[in-house]
Amino acid sequence: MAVAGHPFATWTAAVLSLAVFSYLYRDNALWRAVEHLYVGLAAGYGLGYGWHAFLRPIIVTDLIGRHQYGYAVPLLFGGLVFARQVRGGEDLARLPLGLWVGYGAGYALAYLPRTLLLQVRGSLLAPDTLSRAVLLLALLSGLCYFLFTLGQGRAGRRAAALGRWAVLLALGASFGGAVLYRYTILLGRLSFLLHGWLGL
Amino acid sequence: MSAGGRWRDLLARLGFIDRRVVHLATLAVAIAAVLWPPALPVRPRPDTIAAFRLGQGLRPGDAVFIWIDYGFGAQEELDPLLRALLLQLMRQGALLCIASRSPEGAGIADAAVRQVGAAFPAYAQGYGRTWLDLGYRPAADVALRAATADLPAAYNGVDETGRALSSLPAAAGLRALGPADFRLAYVLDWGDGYAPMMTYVSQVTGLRLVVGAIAMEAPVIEPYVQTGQIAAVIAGTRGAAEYESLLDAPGIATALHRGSVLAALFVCALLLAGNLGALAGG
Repeated sequence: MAVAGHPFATWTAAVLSLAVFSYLYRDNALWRAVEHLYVGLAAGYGLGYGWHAFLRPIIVTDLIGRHQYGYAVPLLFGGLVFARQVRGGEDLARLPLGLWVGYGAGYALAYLPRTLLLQVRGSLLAPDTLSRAVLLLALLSGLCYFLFTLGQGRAGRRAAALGRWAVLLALGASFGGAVLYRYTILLGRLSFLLHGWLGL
Repeated sequence: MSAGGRWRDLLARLGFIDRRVVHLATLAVAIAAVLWPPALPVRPRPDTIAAFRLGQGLRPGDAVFIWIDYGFGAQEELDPLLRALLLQLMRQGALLCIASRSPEGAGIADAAVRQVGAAFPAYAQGYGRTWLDLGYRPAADVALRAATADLPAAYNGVDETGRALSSLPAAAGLRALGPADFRLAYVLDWGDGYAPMMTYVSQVTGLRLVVGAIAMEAPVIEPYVQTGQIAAVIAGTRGAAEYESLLDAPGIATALHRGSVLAALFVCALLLAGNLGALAGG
């Protein structure tokens, strides 16, 4: 997208874009410098934004300003992840990670079955249209392809072969979408360089 | 060498073209696509029309929740769609409540609202009255689930800049993320942002969800539209171009889409050349 604002911003964006494109010719120092700059900026931005938008309101405003000391418990507990930097502190560092994983698993178990069951029901509707018939055929044959633990007869092998083609077609469509997505990014960047920067 | 042998030799060479030549040709086609996009017609598909109709059903003051699930990496593809959606929502006079899943999302949303809103005085000067930005929250699943119970509390009672939500008129009626306070929810989806929104908000509260996704992600989301778990999906730049045509306001998405058609033809030619080269080369 075109960078609106100061010409310095436009020129900086244009030069950095060209530096990134230089990798298409070969690896070079300019590309590596921009790569490091990007990673550093992203990390710095994330850290700064996280502090100002999330941590600071909790620590400064709520915990200190409003004396809501309950926030200290999750803060200290979360801080235990850094205990692995101290010899013998590895076990302490596992506590917040354990809570995190357990909480995530519980959340998934509570909410995901409905999502998945609706999908299963949707996939097994009567094949009264061509789309549904193709979907059902691809689903059942795809499942046959992934039946590794059971012996398959001739019909099973044919269904598995069909399933393999269904999977290949789906992956091909996804790859096509990925290529076009990247191309759209390139077009957007060139649109900025040609229209926004050079004014063509 | 026979004529057939010469052809075979020529085709075999296609498989060994220097990648830098391919890059250069790709760049040339992309530049041509940007400078001279083919004047192809844009015909909206049913999914895009469904999303558009939901937007057209909004009345002035109806609140919509817009969740930005992308950062700078997907900006080129999703920004045009965000702008098209905002144009419709501002024409309808909707109350915009924006939040983001990525740290960059807040800035991206603000820039888009200010750019599109420049033509709408109610939005250009109306932060806090016609729109507000809640900003970024980590742990999206937890934040969204909390927002369905108490929206201000899920965002610590402040907006993206730290202003108290209680001081913003726009936030007065927005108590919880659900159909009681919001008419629609939009997700601008780069990865799997639709999933927590659908699982923890839409399915639980019944709030209708429209997803605008990158082209690569759209086929993954389509099954959820067919089962009614998501109300509509707008797919990539093409979907954005279709939205612009429905709004009768062709813009950057239309230009990008037309250019990408040219690019797609070129990619097909490359695939064909590469495969022919591989086959001829044995």
